[in-house]
Amino acid sequence: MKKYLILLLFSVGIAFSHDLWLEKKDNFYTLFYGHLNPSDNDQKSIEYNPNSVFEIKCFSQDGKEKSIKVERSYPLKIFGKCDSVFIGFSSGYWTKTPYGLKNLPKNQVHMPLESWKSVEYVKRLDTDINKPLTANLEITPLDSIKNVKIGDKITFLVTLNAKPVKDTVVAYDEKPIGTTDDEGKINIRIKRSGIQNISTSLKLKEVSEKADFTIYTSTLNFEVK
Amino acid sequence: MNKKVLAGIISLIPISVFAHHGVASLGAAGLEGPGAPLETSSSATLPEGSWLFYGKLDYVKWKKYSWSEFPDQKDEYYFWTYGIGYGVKPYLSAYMFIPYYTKKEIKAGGQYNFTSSGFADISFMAVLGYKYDKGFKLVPKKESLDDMMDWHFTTYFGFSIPTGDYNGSAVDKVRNDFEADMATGFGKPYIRIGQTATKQFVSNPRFTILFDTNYIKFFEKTYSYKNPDGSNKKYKYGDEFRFNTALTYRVLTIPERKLRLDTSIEATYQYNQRDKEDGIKAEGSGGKILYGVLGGRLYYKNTSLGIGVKLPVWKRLNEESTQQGGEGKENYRLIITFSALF
Repeated sequence: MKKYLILLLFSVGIAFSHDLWLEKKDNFYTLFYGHLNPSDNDQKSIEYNPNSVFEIKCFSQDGKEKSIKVERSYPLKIFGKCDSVFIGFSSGYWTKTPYGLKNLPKNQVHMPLESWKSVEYVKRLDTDINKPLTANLEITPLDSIKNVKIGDKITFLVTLNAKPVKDTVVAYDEKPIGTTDDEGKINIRIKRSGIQNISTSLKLKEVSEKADFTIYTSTLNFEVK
Repeated sequence: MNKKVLAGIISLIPISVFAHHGVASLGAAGLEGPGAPLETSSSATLPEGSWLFYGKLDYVKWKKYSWSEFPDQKDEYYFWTYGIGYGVKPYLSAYMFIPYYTKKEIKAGGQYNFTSSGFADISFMAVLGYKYDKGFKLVPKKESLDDMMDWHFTTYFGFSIPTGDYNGSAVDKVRNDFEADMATGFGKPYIRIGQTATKQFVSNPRFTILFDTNYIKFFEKTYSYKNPDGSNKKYKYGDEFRFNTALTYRVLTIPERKLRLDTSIEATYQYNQRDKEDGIKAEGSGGKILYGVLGGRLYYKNTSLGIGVKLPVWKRLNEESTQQGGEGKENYRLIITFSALF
């Protein structure tokens, strides 16, 4: 098991290489892609195609969906009063070839080596909702995020189809912190204020002429004062 | 008749073995987990179902004095310890240790050497691990790097079985001298209880502080060696109490090579009761010693190599002027450990 953990921690680094995050301002949310906490050589936000967003949901605290207005330009904006916003985003198919990495499915490139579909989700919470809101890969805090302070430890639950996902790597600010236990839980300590960036990734085999597997990444955002 | 303490034997009973698996066992996670010093036991337990293989050398070079004052002087000891550990549960580890000792004494003003060598007493130990995280709880199967920064504790219990040669190795046959501290075995089981506490700093996870205290109880043994009055020699080693504290610092981590380098500084206090010879408290035995240990540990994949030097920095021995070759009278101790976890 520990060896497995080692492999996982090293192998999933690529999946955490970019962040999706949601910033809230007045009565709207803005979706960003890039590096939430960029290092010296990183660009904070990278322009994306708004059509890459395939799912947008707004939830009230009781988990019910609410209607919203979406402005589909870069950066994507969502207008509405939400307790949680959930976004699905896909940059499409990626294929490794001897000539480099192509943003195409494997059946559209010459000499494909390895290919995958990238699917990313981001959930922003602005109040305590301690259960999964969708059937997608999702991270849910099981402790209150209200009044949380730097240094506090919070238990998070990773789910897919609303069922716990065990042995999956969870990262804080792109740095792997550990893997989920048999109940899909992991404890993470809050290390800074601002938008929290907690993410996980799953690689599932895909039976398709377009890709060998799908990489699902899910990020949880909430703010710490 | 040599009445010095059973110099150094106990010091290598491998309580410090616990200090070695904590990081090496955890691979990538361990590259940033709590540090592990050389002598102070850490509060890490073995992952469930994993095996630890362990080796340690504690080399002791004794201080020498004038031959006219001390015609017989301890020269050097090699304490080798081989061990194997198993993670029964995430919170329960079991160990077995097989020591091999070589002890060299220069006698009669340098006219000849008395060397005893052989396997010593096999010992066993059980370690119960628990932590404080919103209350005390047993160490769970999985912990995140942030969980590892919680206070961790272990309570351990151990005992030996007298497999070493306590009779033959205790007698210098040239002069028919009985020297308990040259024996490679105790002749009777000893028992040990101990407690550790470990905390990796949240504000600066490169630092880990550790505490370890333990008590060892010995029992009187009757030897086949005959006293002048025809009675069999009886000897009881003084019980020992230790309190160790350590600070480790993670100097370097190279995740892609799965390599980590730590340094550590330790202070280990030791109180030795007087030995008892034929039921009478022995002169020239026992005392209080404070050692300092400076060391480093290199982790590579699932292995670790530790090297350090241990020196007495303060001592109050009961009859210090007569205790050449007793704990506290070392020139230095060189400690080398190796462990691998599978």
